[in-house]
Amino acid sequence: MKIDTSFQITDRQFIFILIGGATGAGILSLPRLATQEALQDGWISVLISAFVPLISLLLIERLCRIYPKYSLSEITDKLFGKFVGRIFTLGYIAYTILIVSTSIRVFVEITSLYILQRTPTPVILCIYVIFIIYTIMNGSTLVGRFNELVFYLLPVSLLLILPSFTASTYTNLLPIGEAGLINILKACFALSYSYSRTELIFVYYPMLKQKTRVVRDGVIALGIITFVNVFITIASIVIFGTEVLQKIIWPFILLYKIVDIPVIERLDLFFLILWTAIAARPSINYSFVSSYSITQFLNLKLEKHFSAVSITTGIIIFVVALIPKNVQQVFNIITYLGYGYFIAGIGYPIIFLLASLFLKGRTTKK
Amino acid sequence: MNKRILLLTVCIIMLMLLSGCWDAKDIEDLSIPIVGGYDLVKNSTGEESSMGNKVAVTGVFPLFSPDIVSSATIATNIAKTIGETRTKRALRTPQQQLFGVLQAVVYGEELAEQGLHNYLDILYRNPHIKLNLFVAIAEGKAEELLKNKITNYSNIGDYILDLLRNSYKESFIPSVTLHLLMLKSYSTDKNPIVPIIKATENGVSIAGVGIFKADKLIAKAGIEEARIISLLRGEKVEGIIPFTVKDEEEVIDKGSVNIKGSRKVDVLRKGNDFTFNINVKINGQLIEHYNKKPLDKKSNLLKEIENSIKLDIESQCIDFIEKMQNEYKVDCIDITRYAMAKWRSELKDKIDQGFIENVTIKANIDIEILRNGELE
Amino acid sequence: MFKKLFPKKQKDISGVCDKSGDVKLPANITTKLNMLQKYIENSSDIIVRSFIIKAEQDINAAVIYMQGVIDTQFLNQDIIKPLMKFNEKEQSFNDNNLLDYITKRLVSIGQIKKKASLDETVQCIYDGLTVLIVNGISEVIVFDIRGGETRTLDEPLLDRTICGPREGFVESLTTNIALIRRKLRDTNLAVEKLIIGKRTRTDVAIMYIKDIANPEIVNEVLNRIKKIEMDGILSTGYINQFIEDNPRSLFPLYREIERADIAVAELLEGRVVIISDQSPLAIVYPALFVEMLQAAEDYSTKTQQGILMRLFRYVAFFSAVSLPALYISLISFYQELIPYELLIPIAKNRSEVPFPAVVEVLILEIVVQIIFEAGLRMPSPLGQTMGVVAGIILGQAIVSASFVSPAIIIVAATATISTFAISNFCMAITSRLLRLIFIATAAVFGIFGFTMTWLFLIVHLANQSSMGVPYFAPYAPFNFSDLKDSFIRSSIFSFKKRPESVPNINKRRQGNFRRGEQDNEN
Repeated sequence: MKIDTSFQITDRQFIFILIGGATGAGILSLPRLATQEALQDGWISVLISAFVPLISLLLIERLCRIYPKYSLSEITDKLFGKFVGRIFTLGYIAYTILIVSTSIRVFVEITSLYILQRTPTPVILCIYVIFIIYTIMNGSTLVGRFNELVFYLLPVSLLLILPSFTASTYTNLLPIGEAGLINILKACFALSYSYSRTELIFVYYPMLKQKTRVVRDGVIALGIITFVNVFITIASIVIFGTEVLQKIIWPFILLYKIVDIPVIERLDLFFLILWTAIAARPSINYSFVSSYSITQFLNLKLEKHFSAVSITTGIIIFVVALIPKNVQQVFNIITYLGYGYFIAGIGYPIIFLLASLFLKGRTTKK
Repeated sequence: MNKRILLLTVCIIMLMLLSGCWDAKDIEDLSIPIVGGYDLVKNSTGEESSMGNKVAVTGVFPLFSPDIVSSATIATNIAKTIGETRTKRALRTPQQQLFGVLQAVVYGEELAEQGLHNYLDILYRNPHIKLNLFVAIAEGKAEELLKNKITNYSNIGDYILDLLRNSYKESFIPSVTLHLLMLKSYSTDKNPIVPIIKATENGVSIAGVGIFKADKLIAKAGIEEARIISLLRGEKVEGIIPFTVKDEEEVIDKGSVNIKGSRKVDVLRKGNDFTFNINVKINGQLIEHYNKKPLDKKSNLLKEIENSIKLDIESQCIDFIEKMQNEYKVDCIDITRYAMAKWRSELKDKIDQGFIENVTIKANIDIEILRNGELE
Repeated sequence: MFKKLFPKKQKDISGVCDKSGDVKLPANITTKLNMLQKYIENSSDIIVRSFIIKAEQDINAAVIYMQGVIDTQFLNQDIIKPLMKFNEKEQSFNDNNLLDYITKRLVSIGQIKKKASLDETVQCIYDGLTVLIVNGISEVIVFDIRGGETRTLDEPLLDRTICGPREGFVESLTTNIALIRRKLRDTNLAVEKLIIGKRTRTDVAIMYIKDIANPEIVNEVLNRIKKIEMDGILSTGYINQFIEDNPRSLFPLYREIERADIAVAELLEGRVVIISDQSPLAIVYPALFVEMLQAAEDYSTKTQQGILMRLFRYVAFFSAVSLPALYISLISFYQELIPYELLIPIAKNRSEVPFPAVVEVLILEIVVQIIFEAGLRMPSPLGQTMGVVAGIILGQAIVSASFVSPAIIIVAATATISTFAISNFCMAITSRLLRLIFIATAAVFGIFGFTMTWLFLIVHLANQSSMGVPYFAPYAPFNFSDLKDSFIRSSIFSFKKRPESVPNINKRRQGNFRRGEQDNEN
């Protein structure tokens, strides 16, 4: 009870970490992507697309149940031997670093656009990366606590959308189902970047104190995220309409510009202040995962070297985040990362499960 | 180890601090336009293409220096694009410009007739400009309107602002924000109506509403017509309606009712024939009437008042609908979206060509006077 | 850390007691006096009073005491007088049981000990105890009749309440412990005394309730205190700095209290209270962030008032720390957030001031901090003058001279007053420091800097732990049941269990009493 080991999280923190997984760059342009193919039925795509992370959750949980104390790099080492296992881990590390970099880059672009126009991008990026390093340096307990604290800003932000509903026309949503199943499924595919949160379980699972309720926690987290996504999509459709929505890059932010409130006046700028904290979560969660995996990849001891590895990870993220030249390039990378999710979130656990069955079969034969 | 990290962080932070703060702009060093006016300046060769004309941008800039008496400067700049006018203004102003505080936008009549689309883009694209700034059309040129002298008010910017903000509460003129304008000019099934303001001796007054087809002004409607349009549109309808009660050609009562209205629309379809039923529901409060007869249950006066208003409005509606279908040929009462709600993919491309002219529109008015004020 | 502070000085700080080994005292009084003379010859306030104990043969005795530290009445009446007027005819005695006789029949003092070695005797003299040396007895008898002038019980300086008791701690350890004992009569209340500080030899008492406090925490506290090696412990502040978890943290990880009723409340929640002699402040471990914004008054009043007071204190904390920074971010960076009608008057006022907003804020901040420091040290007759100078002259004149605009005066004044609305003094001092940090970041990065600094602060808070207990509980790690005593204070009927944020071994503290139910039974 006395001093917490720095690498333990409670299951409530686990829920919040999962929620904090991808409510970052993904959610800002979600309505636009959803309505591109499916028009006014975009929200149905968002609803249906909740099943993909669910399948991923079940697969990964099944796998981690077999190896409860091992994180990803240890599992791959066990299953495939050092050489091939390391390749899998490397792929995972690259994937997580790219997610963090795109997430941070999008955030910095938004900050540059709305808040600090003339400050050079690397400076804003630098501050953000320092913050991330500071948080992940102290272990996952702090990451869990941070997610717990910051989560409550999300419902506050959603409540602030409510005044904008006075300028909404519900007929934008009708007729329902007109887009047809194929278009809806196409839109699901386009949304794949926003699914990414279940790969976090690979690393956070061994840190849980009690592992019995992982599926329940995961379902709660996915439920909350799906609710938030559907709410925002519906709000965007009724307030903007599908045609105008295609022209707006960040529909989520523009939702706040519609109506004035006394005292706070400009809700969108106020929202961006909250957004700084909300968007920090996926960056921190994924940075921690990268840092942790790199530590294990290089066979270093956690207690001694984790801080140093965190700083290095931070620097790598900083460099990678500066590579795209503008937002369009970031969106291209995001589309590829969306496909990467299917590999990391669904492909990996399937391969590992098959491999573990194979391995078990071998050992029983012996 | 921790010490070294600390030192590194401190060095980085010092570096950043010493290199300067880039975005600091103190408030008194800013020139803040609160109302913007846009006018068309025709090319000298008389070309009519929208890309060839110049635009005159007028801004109302409140002054911060306490020694200067008048509280705002109004300046005009002419250039090919709005962005260029900003450069021209920057050449003449000692202060830095900040556009995020823009509160209202006035477009000249000519500009609106040519199409607002080009000139809305800069406002929408700017992340700092709020989307609920008020929009109005100026009768004539916006520049002349904004340079009108006013008495008893701080500056013309505040005057127009307050005028537009409160217009919907008492006079059936809607308050249109940039968001609504953009939305309705870009969507296929919606067309906005925008208040028209004109200069008077001591200030500015609202002269009616402008009827738009997408982003082009096609007609101007007076105050009376604006009332009907507002009732038929059903959004935030509030105002005062006069009535006269006639008993076989003799006027027995006159007065006015303060009403609030709402509407419900439904669409029936037979093949290619659409019938729109607009059910307008009006709740009113009697605020004056000339006849001394009491309005209790025994006398029929209240019913007669309600009836006379109903008939009056219905006939005005029929007249207006006919005008809309034959003359304007544009759906300015926002009913097409109900048809789109049911048959969106089918009608999407047909809306602009000859849809509204060939449908049947029926208006049913239902009025109820709820309160009589303090007197019986 | 200890080694870094005191690498080689260990030899110097050792006092008398470490020198030679134990030298036993002889029986002869003259020899004893000669041995002791070396140690007491430089102190003219140590008095040696020789007298004769009346017996068959006169026995020489002497009493050695420190003037002013003892209560002379007890010395005269209960030690010297009975010994001098001893009537031997009452009871026969011989040399063997003289010691017992004196201690058990003659001297009527409450606390008596016997010492045999020279070092201990000298230390006892300097501790303020009275030493009786008798010819023929090799041991000395030590009485504790310490008294003298101490401060009377008074209302505490900082922790004031209107609806609660007003006794504050004083500089005497025994009185302080007595104040707590009077309020908490539990048989499980444990008081462990230690002496720390090589030269000051300060008595420190560690109090906890045996069947509530978690033994791990108690042991941790005791171990850390026992490891302190310093020559002077002048107040509990010194102890704090030695035993706190993270000296580099910005926030106080302990709670300093001046009142006995707060001490009792803390003890009942399973915490450990450390009281030191000669210091009117007691410290409580473990401490949580939520306590820094609580006041004793919240618990003595109605629930609704308690909730309002708590919420205001959180608002006060927010404004004390970040209001000037918010002002800078809005005026210099983010003018669109200011309501349009307010923008024009502010800009008009600012146009008269030649400095940028950041410099304005800094000027006023420095002035306010200097006034604050001066106010702490100002003798009371000059306090009124200070008020006039600071308020009227500096406030009014600084605006008229166009050094600052009126808006910033409001902001700075609100921030300063909010600093004092924070109930914990250490936290108020911390907020001054935080305010400067916020101003610096807001000056460079505007509202982005402001937000990032808040995030850094929250992460920093979540990372601290006090005696191993997470500092930011119950916010993180989240504990819903403990939230009833955090930013709100729910009714006393909901305080059925002790807060879980501080580990304890006895969960329940309230029965099922509810007034309504009881009435219904009747």
